[in-house]
Amino acid sequence: MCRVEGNATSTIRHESLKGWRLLICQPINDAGEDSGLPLLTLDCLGAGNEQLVIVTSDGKSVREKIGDPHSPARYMTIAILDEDIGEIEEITELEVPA
Amino acid sequence: MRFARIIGRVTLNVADPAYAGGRFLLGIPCKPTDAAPDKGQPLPKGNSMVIFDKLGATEADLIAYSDGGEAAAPFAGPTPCDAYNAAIIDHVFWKPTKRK
Repeated sequence: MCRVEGNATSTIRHESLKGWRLLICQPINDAGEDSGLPLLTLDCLGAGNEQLVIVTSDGKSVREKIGDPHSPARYMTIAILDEDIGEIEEITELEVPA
Repeated sequence: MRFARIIGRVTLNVADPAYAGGRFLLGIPCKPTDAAPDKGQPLPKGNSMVIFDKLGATEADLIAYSDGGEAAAPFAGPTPCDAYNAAIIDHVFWKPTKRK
């Protein structure tokens, strides 16, 4: 899961990346804190700043989506979260439905 | 892809034929706004890495590189390559979320 923190423009890029939007996505952990350096991802969903997105790192599926088996792309946004679910509290009691 | 700042290049005579037409650059993984070395700022911290380049990136450029298995994908056959320059970044709009 990542937070969108910006975008980048590039004139000189690999042929397979032309026409794709480039987003700067910051990987985050369960507590919403930064985890590692920002990634540059391809975006076809129209994600905006500060939105939470799910990013795939499966290069093979990204190459299939792009339609170029020789693309160096690795990361792509595959979903935009509707809302931040926050920290998951420990469940101590469960009610059994009648 | 990840961001890297180019700090130099590697020259060599004997290489795998698959590398023909390209060259190797020395880059440091960084944040999008880490200053270029020619601006008098200290280099980003981290280990430098050798990145294969066919786009013509030069020193102080900010690039986006692919690592892992995807770095070898652009080559016609199986080629040992750990990092591949996928794009030279012109402009970055980056607004990191402030932490409390």
